[in-house]
Amino acid sequence: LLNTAITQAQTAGIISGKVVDAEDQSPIIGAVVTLKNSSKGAVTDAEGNFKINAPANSTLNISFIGYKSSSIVIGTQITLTIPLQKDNKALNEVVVTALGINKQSKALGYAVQTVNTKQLTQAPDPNLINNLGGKVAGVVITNGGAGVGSTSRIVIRGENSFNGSNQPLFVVDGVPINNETFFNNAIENSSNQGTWAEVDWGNGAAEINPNNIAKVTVLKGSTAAALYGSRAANGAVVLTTEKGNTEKGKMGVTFNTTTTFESPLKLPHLQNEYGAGVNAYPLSGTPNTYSFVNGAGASENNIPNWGLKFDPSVKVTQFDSPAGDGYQAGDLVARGINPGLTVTPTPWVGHADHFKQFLQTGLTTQNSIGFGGTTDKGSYHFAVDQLYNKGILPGTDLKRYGIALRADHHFTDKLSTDFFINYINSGSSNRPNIGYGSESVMYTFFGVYGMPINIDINSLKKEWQTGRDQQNQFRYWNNHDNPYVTLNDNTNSFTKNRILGNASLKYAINDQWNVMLRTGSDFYADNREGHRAFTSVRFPTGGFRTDNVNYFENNTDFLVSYHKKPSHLFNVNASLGGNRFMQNIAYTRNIANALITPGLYNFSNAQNQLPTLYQKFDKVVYSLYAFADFDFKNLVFLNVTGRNDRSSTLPAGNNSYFYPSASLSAIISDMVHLPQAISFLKVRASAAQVGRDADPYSINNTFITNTPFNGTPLTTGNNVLANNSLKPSSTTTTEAGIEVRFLKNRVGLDATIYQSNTKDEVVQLPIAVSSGYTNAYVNGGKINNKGVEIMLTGTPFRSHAANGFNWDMSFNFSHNVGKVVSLPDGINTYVYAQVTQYDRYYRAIQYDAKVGQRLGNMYGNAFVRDPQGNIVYKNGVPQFTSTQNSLLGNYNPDFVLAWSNELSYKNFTMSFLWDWHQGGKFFSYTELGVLAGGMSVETLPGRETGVIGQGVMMDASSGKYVPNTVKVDAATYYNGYYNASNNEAFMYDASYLKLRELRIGYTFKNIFGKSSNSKLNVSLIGRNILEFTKNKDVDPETLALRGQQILPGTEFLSIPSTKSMGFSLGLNF
Amino acid sequence: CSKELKQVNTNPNALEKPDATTLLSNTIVTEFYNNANIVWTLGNGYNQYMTFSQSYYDQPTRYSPVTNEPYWIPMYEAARDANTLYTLAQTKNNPLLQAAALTLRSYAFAQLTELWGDIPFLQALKGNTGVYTPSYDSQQTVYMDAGQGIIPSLRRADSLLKANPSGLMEGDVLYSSNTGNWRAFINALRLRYLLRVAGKVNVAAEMQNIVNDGALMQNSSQSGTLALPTVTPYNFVSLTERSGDFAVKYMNSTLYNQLQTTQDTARITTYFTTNATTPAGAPFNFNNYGGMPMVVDATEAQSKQASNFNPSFAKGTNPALIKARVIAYAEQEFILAEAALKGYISGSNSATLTYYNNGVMGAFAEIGINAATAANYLVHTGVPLDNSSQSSAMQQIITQKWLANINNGFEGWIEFRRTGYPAFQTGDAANMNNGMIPTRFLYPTSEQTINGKNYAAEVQQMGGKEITTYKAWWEK
Repeated sequence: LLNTAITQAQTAGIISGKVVDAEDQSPIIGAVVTLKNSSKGAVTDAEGNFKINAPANSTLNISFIGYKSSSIVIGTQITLTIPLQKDNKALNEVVVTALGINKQSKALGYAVQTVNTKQLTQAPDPNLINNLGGKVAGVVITNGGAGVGSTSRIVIRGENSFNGSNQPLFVVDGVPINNETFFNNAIENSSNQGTWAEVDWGNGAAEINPNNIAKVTVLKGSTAAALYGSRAANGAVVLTTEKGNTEKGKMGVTFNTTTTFESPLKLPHLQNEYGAGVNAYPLSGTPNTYSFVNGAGASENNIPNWGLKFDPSVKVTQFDSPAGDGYQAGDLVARGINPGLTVTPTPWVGHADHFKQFLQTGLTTQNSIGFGGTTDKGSYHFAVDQLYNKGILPGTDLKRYGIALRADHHFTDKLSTDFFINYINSGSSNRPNIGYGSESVMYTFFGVYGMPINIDINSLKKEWQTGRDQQNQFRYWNNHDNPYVTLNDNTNSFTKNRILGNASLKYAINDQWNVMLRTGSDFYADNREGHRAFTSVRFPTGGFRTDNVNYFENNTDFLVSYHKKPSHLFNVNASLGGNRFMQNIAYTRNIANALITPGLYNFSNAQNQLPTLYQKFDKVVYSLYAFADFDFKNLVFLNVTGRNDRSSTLPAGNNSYFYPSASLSAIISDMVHLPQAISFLKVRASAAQVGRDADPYSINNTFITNTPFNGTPLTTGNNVLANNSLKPSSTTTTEAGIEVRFLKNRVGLDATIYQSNTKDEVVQLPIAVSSGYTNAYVNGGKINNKGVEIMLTGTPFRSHAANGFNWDMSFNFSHNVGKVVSLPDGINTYVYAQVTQYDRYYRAIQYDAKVGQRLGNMYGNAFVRDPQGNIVYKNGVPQFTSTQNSLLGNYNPDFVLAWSNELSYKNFTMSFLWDWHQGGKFFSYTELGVLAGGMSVETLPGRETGVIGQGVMMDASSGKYVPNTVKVDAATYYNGYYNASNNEAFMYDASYLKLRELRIGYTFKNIFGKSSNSKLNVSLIGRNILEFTKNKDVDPETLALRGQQILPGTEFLSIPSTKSMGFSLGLNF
Repeated sequence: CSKELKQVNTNPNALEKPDATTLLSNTIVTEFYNNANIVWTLGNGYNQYMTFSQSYYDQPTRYSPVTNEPYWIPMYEAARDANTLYTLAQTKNNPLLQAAALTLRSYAFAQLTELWGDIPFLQALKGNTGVYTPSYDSQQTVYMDAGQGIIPSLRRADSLLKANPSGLMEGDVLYSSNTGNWRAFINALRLRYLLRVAGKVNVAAEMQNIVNDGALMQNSSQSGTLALPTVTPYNFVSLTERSGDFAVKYMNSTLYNQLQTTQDTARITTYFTTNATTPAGAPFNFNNYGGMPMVVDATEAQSKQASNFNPSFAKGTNPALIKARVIAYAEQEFILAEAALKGYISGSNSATLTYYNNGVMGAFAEIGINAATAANYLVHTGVPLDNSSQSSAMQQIITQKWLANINNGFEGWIEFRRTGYPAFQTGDAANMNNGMIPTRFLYPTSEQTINGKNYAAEVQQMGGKEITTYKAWWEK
């Protein structure tokens, strides 16, 4: 009826108009003109002109980015000129800065970048952090190596600290939350029984429902974060939750569902020509070949693939060869009980695709529904979300449910409250082990001596020996678990219940004074359970453990604000606040490394149980802070802050520390007349400092308890020397930036250069063991980071027709170099981490900080080379160093460039994001395994004829290097070249270009009737669907978990990263 | 709030003051357990009792230059705790605890200097006073320094107990405060280290004094051994290693040859199992056992004829085999045999013979073999002591000492370095140390990176480059 009414209104006819800039009357190209209450519209042409057919007295809406939208009632005129006012506010969106305080971005003297919910959920990843990848300049995100649910690493503007974490602070609605991964207490330094491998339980921020986040603001330097205190020294990621924002009295509903299917992005290329065997083709002497005896025999231990060429006519006794009566060779116990059985050898054939067959298609579904509304007194928003993931490894999964409520209410004109509460329940029936050792299926397949090529994975589906269910594994050798047992029985499950939330009360005393009280907490209880089945390599009679983490943190603030405009030129905002931060962590561990009856996982079934380990970590920080903003004629902005912390972790005399910041920005384009091409120009500069405290309990020496010996309690001196004169460390950042927009804001550039210096960091300095201690807490060392960030936004194509083709794009570029300026006590090298095989400490990749060198350098053994750089051979085998101190490369990229695009045509939209990380190196344990084990296709040349390695050898008579002429058999050559101790042999270029996100969608508008303002979006989505990189076998984007640290630069038998593709459906009304 | 801050930062997970009882237990356990732990994977290889059949594991049996850092660290930790204990014992005025602390500290330093050579010593263990990078001292200082040296410390320990023959020391998991046993243990160690330096220092008088005092082990029940639990984390490693790792360890051919030459049926069957070619239930025959020479990767034939360790090592069925040993009665007797042979102590040849026979009997007793079998072994060809020349007697004494020290740290290798007995195979091309038997481990890499200046100074003595064949003092 309404539509009919409009069409029947009297017609003014064709209206011609021109849209111009109100200031200089220049035409505005591409402005959108729409007729109110109609679907009619037009776009201005190169002269700013448009034509539209409109009835008399109707209203035109005119809008263009960077200008204030305008409405005009046309009456009966048929030509008109419409001036648009520049809108610097629109250009300078409101950003959320420290403490949840909104500011105009133009008033900021430092770089911030905002990601909205649409960008965040374009092709959503279950880990919130991954959804930021490529969207913010200066932020480097690395996906974890343990599949969905693993910890992702986010580093802003490089590493400021030796201590490995370098993670920014995560903040929800102005209150910090926990983003750490709390690891089980596990020291994996052996392959012996009872050694539980480390598990990545995922980072805290991963659990936040991205659909319930209205906006993510990334505060990059310590400048921006100065007011959050120490923990924001590496920047802050500020999440603003959804609020009800409908018209008053109405309710809005959003529903999103996505389903994606995951498959490996990349798998190692395995040869399918030769099977297990130590050396089937020696140049001289007896061949050393393989046949199955009992899984522990001489030729079947540590089985590399230097065996016989596959040939179905060759028959070999294998673990799955029939033994009569339905038994197989690997049914060792049964064969012992039935002595008459004889094994019939079976054809010698390859199964190089066994890992591919082992994997399943992953499935991720994410559903989220939000209701929001506005009342006369406030607003509310309620969101429920659910995540289910089935990993590509069978038996692994991740489940998550969340409920969130945000509401605000005005009791009176002066008194209001705002609160947010989020309950998250997450869990998994199995978080897979990664890394080196029999606990991990990746090791089973790709460790050194991984699964031989001749093993048929289908035979292993019989997990247990016939008649020995849950008692004796069915397998091909004793140092590997049956991978199905590993994933189905040897599980690491968890259930985590988390509540985070905050509540604030604001009172406006008068126009000038405001008071706010706010408190926020993050609490979780994470209950983890480990099961190990009988005859597991490390658990002959099974194992059971529970690990419980209780985490609590609270931040309580008061803030008194004052606002005054002393004259029409000046504007002053000043605030004084205080904060109390409290953190309590309690960890309880119980372990039984031997069970009585298979299949019962309970301590009542323990043969013996280790004493309970109980640890607590508590911390309190009191802070006072103040800040003031001055602006002069809305042109020049000055911002100063100061904060004083008192931390419980520092000694009494040194526990109070102050740190200030100042920033300045000026809107040049509003101050001087600039060429017409430049529509906006702002310059900014800032300097800030942030202080940091120490870990709890770093100041007093202690004696720690060891596991009792036969019931006798033991204590030993702590290897880490405490230090009761520790002082706070600090990071000082200076940055300068420019923000410029051209061609009526069609092209925008935001560039920042920065430098940060960290000094006096509290480190656990490794000291000579002969001092009686392995580490000492000291202050010292300086790290310098320098870098540049550039954001370039542009609209390469804007249609002149309504609903025409539009294309917006943006580039995020960043480059950072971190350098070690000095180290504590004048030492030259500080080994801050290493990645080792479990019991091969001398095969480590070392992460050394060396004075004058880049942070992120990795060191290890390398090929011995002649002065020309040729590899030196001896007896036909390459030589390598053993000193562990050759520079192998740096894991940091030289630069990161992301290119995101948004295209629309009528109701179609397409967006895609390319993420390019250039430079950096990584070490690959998967490559080590497949190369040293003869599994890789690269180990085929010379298999039967021998290999003469390319390089030089020392000529004894002349004492000079001559080309290597010594031929050795393939096993000797490849074992020598790909020696597990020769780190250089497994270093690869870490550069990659990924098609990170892709979304193609169609929006149905007003599906519930024209006035319903409803939208249904149906999209195809994809993540990580393409990758270009030099290494053919593994994804260089990966993290290792070692020594309770998440480390970049090492691919540590990671679960293959996945490409995921699927669809999403979004409904708003 | 100051009070609250202090309270919050009080460590709830650990003691802030040392506790003598638990610290003592821990120091004993650390030293004994680590000795047993290292012997199974590295020591038996260096001592040529064991060979790995696969190059993946070969470092110990092929003498790849290694740092052995996992042993360096617990020895310094033990020395540190012993030092803390010594100070505590002085405050408590407990002579037994003082003696134990001195002994435990000396043993840790002895292990360090005998495996690495010159080591940080006089400045060591002072991290808590800010000495993070202690300088190196000569091996001679480590043994002989009047204040802290191994030998003077052990001497002081013994005299403390001699003067205070009774005492109580809680947490003594080794001898339950039995000062007699402690004195015997201390003096056995004194004899070991005195003999080690006998080529450099006149040790005769002190050795004779010890013998005259008579505070020595009388039989294997007084041996410095610690029964380990059968469950992690303090079990003998063989009980909990992966079966695949157990299966690649074979009897070394050097050991096989010695056992076979003297027809040592008892010990070969106790320590090892028949080879893969032997049918089940076959009667005993030395041909059913075999040793593996130093190889890169054993051929199938080599693996099949060589013996793995006795399955009791994996099952724990023979408790005598899976103890942690620091010094046994047998070794004490062999030391005395050599001392008598060389005239450091009185008694000459007849004493030598008595001590030698005691040593052999003690060695059998030590691993639970009965005296009759041992007595029978004493008359096997090649076993009765041939006193006709010092060298032939030395060869027998040291070889029997070597057999007695299976599964005891690196004693076999250290004594080989001192005496050349028994003849070790060098392994030709399979040897990863340029065809030589090393005389030391490399310093941990952390010494280069962390203690670089002092490390460099030490390496100067080796000719500017760290080598595994450098001889520190008594070996020269």
